Amino acid sequence: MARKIPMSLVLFGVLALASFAALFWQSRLITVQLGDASILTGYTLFVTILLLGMFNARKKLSMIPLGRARTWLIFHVVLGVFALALFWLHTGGIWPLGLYEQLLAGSFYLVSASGVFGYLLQKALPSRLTHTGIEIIYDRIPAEIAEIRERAETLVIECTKETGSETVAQHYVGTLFWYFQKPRFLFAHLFGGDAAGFWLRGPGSAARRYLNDVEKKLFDEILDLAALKAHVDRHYVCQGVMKKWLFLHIPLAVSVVTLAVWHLILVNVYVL
Amino acid sequence: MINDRDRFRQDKSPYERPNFPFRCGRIRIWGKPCSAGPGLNGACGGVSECRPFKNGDRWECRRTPSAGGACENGPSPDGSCCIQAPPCRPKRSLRGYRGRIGLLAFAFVVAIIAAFGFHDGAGALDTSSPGDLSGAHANFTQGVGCVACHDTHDKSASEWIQAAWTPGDLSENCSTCHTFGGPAQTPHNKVFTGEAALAASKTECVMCHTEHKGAAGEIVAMTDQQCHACHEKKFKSFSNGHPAFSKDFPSRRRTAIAFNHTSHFDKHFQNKRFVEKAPAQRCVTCHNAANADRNVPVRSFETTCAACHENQIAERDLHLLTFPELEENPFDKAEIIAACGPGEADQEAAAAIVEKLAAKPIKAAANETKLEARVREMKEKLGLIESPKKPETTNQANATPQEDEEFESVSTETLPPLAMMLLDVEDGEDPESYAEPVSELVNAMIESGDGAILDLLSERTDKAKQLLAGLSQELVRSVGCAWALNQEYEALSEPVLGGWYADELSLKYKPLRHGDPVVLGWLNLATSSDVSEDFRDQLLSSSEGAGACAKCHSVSTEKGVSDGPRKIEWRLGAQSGQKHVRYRHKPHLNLLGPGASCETCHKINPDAEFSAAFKQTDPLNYASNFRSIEKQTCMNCHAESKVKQECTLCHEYHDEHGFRKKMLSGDGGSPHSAPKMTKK
Amino acid sequence: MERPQRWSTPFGPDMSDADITSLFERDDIAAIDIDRFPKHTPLEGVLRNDTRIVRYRSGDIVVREGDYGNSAFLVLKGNLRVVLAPKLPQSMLGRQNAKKKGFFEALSQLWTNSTIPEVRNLSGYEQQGLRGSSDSPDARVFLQDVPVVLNNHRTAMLREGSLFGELAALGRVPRTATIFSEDDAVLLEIRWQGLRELRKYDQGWRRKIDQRYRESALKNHLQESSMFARLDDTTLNAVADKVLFETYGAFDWNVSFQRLRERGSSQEAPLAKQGDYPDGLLMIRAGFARVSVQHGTGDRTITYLGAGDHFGLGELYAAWKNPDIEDMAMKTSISALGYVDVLRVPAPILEEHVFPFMDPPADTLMELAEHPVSDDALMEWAVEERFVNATRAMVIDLEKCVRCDDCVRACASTHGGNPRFRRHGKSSENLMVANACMHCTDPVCMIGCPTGAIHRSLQSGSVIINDMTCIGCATCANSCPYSNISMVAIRDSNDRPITDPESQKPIMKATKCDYCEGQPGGPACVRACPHDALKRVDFHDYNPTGSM
Repeated sequence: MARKIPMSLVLFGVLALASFAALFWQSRLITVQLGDASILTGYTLFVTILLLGMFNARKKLSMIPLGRARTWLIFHVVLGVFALALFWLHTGGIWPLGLYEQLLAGSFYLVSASGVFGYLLQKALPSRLTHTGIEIIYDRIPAEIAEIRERAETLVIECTKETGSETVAQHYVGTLFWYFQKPRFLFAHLFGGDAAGFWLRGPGSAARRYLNDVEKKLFDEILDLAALKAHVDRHYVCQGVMKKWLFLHIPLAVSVVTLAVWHLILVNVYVL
Repeated sequence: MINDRDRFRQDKSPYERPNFPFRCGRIRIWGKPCSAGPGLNGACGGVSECRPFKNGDRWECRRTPSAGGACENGPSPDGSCCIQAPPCRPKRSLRGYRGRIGLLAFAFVVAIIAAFGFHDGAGALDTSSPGDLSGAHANFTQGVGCVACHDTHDKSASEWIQAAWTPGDLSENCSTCHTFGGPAQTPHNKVFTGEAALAASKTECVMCHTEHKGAAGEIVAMTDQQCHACHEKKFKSFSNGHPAFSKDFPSRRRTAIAFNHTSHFDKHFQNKRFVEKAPAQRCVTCHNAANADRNVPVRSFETTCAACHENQIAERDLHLLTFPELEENPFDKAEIIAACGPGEADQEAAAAIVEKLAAKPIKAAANETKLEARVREMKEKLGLIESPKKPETTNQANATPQEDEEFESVSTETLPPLAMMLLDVEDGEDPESYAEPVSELVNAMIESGDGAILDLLSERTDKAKQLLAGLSQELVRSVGCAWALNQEYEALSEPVLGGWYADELSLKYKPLRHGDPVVLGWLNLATSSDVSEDFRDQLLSSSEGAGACAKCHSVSTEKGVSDGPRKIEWRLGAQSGQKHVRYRHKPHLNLLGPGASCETCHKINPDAEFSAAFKQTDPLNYASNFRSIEKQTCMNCHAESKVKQECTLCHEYHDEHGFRKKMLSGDGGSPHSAPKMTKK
Repeated sequence: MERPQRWSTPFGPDMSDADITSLFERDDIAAIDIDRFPKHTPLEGVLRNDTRIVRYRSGDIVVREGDYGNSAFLVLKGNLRVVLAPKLPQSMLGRQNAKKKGFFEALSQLWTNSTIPEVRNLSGYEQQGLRGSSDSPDARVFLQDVPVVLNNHRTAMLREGSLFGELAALGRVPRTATIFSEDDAVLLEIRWQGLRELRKYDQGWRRKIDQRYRESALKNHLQESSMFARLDDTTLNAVADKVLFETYGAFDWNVSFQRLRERGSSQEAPLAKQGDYPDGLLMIRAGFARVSVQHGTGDRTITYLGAGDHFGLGELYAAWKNPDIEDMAMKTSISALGYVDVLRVPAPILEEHVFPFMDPPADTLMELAEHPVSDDALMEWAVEERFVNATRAMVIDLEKCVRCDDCVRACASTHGGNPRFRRHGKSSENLMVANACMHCTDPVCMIGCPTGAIHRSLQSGSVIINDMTCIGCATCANSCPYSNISMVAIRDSNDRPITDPESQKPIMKATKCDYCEGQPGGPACVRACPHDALKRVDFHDYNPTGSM
């Protein structure tokens, strides 16, 4: 199913390309006319960075009609790429010489990289979550896991009561409790692997062969709960990553803006 | 739970509040959060599920429907909730953490800037240096630090604020060390006047030179387009659009030496007499290619011209003084004789003459020949016979009766220009105007020898001593005595090597060699503006001038003004005046390919009116005997996709770039002040 | 006596024998022929279980214009006033005075929004003319100064014996006028089930009700249809006389729907079956109907019809055009989705007044049946879950949603810091209908609100709740078949729960999505979604592959 390219992406893309071309041309012109093009590119870059930061402000100002966040995100992404190109135009290279500028460039690159990383995450993970067939709110995951565990333990007790055999209980205490305790197999879930399923079919269900029919029935219910928990775990990891990448992006962005402000002050005091 | 059919019911699933900053602390251990939830301040929301209500004498459960409604067991008899849990330590929501980390990042960056941002350049983390200085600048500014260029460095906060809002004047500080032939901040260091001054915008050093590009950073690089920022005539490259060279390039100006390359190659040495002196190696016979730079210097006179032209120098004497014809004898014979005192020889000669004369009738007769008249005159002068009385009717003004005697000057010469200058006489052919000065000079010569001339000359020039170097007192006195007695001076000997000497009626100087300082001095004197035209013309005459200097060394006037002060081109080498053009011969010499030589570019033009240029003084009115070099010649190599051809290859922006002396005096960050040592 | 199921919960629990007796003494009740009622639903049983006696004090509002109701009223004693013109202001009716916020007013929410959940300013509640509380059965909004209202508004008197509200009760249409009691009045409130029985078994009531319906509503409805637009007034009256109006399914389908869903099955009242002979055109007036064909062992939904749609035109036209063809059976079935209110226009009327003047109708229904079944899965699901009722269902594309909760936060930011929906809900494939108010075409939540606090906004058509007059009775929350209304316990500005001083029970308020009523810029949730995952849709014209 081919996704339609949003109009705003085309619009912003063309605008960004045109602006960059104009800036590139203008800075060439300024250089040729013995001016300092980095003033133009620098201030444009600064404004660009502030505009990028406005995306966060937009999220806090949902109550006023500031346009759709969708448009803002596209703007943010396009502007981010634009800023990277502009950064290279401004510094005239990949890596600056001054230690402070290196700090600034390093932060800038990290922000850009984390942004790209986050963007890719947000493109890749939602469908993986959807394909679990369940949907759960991130904040409710601990409660959900606790409830699944509670249910499983109820089943274990029921089984013990009903059959008088402790085989299932021993297996639960020895093996399954570890699994039900909290989210497990995080990396496999993040990268789309089925380590949880593999574990459940192996060590997780190792006691099954020693059970009678009544126990088997209840044990299979426990395994169903375990399979359900695997889905919850997947939600926990993937939703968590989709939130936590911002732990890199936002503090770094704050650093970049702060560093850029000081850079601007220094340039104005020392040179301009 | 996810499997519940009615999990979406409003009474089972309350609003989730992602804007709330805390979560129940039980999620830390993956337990089930309580329904109360944490308080706004992050404290535990409570240890019980509900606050039972006493209705009459019964306690009623008040658990909310979302938490499961009224519980099975109901409140305890004492009215407390039956479901108690240990209090939790609520956990901040992810967003809460994120906000805190953001603040922390801000604080961290501010702290870094505060800690290191105000440190001087030597600090471990210098926030103000955007890169190392180029090697040279780093070396010279080491002692002073950033303030060498940035005035605001180390200034107070208020000055920073002011500096942030005022335009920078970084380029002003460049002049601390750098000097130029003109103003530092005008295009090409040129002084513009009039309308051009208005048009010429101020330039900043930092327009072209940007620092902090690292120790090996290129800070003088300039692109062709940048040159075109100011130049109105814009073109793509040297090979594509650069204006053609001027027609007289590179020989815009007359050469210092009137050396006709054409004739020296092709004419003079055809003669069999000189054929063995012919320049065997063509140009490099005279031009020293080993020292080639912008010019290829000509070897010394001695190794080049001297072979043919050295003798010509001594052939032209400097005529300082010629005893001119006098109408009356201004000298007091007795005094002269007293002053000079006839020597033994004189007396003997005189005695012999007296005897001879005595034998002859001394009376002046009508048929007396001219010779006889002169003899009688001399006799009378010598007092051997009485001179006849002058008739009373003659000029009463003529004082003494003796002067009434017919005076016949030994000289029929006129006063030469040098002497005119010396004596400040206006007309060298009018005896009346020069008689008195000449007589005074001669008297002075007799009295003080060369000093007399020196005194007079010193009034004209302070280089008198040099001009008269080697002139002996004896010679001057002898000459003076002879002339005072209206006699011709008889030189004792002819000078062989040159120097001052006198013949009958002249005091002369024979040049000793090429570059003789006395002649040089006199010729230089002739170039000064306050000498008479005759004086100048005589000395600077190519055919008659002393030492024949001007035969080869061209005489020019400034800027083509024909009657301005003259200048003799003593020095060789191009005087193109094109300050902003540079060319180096050396790299070209061996690169022009096999068989190439100077004449690859410098082609003889046999038809040029070369010698005509030296018949006048305007150095710019010149026809070289080389063909002008055309742009095409350079373009054979310097062109698109050939050898490089950027503007700065041949053009130099600055005029006479130099450094201030104070750099070396240790003031203002000299490399010798050893800044590293000062720390100890 | 076999007790009809609905009588297990009588309308008025305290109808006494004396009340029944006194009712039978009234002329209008006595005129009813008891014998026509079947044994299992005698008139007495109808009166006892499907009616109740309600007392109103002077100024009490009985029905409000725009309300949805499921009962009619018979005036037993006292005088009522119908407000004709000018209409009463919304605030007098206990409704939210919806004013569009200005930019700065909207922005001020940034700092005025409370961090305390569900905080309320108590002083506001005291200014409202509100009687009773969630526990009292007669809580209502009253007009504080009746003489002034009578002075300023033209009104009509309703005296003893008047019947009103029966059209809204039978036809699921909003009340057309506001009626309040001038002095203390006693009314007999008859719920829709009882009204239906009365109309069914008593000629007099039927005549009365049908007459009123034909006069007021039917003609207008016919005129709105393009088919009858060209008819003049007298012809239209003639047509209206011949048109039948019918109601199918349960009026309170939402209650049975949830019950049936729990059991995993649902029964739908059929209007016409595939293979039947077409006898008239069905025009949907209210509610929804499913059009289906037999497919395999089941019925396949082809489409669903809502108000303004009609059914059977193609077959009738073909039969008129080709009278010789024998097999003129219906090609599709139609059944009520919960409740549906239809007009049946007999074929002869169409043949006389409509068919000669119209182009042959396009047979779109059969075209729809040619799609692969998988294409219709979404619609089948939406019909099954009754999402077709929605005008602004919140649909989230889970393949795009990054679960960032920006929508929830945006919602909170426009509602005093409180979210007004829950980001979970039923889903089909990658589409999830979140638990946010869908602003239904058929707003069952509005039925039975004692104070009219939940109402449709005149400005936007959104269903909104006036927090000032909401008494927290949870009628609406329980009525909503989609669980989209949440009851919340309110707190004061010191983060203390506000409780009833007597019972210490928390004061509850019904809350739900108001589609950002009064906020500039429309629903904040849609604007806040950075990934274009969240949409507010009407399933009628929703095509997820095209528009998303």
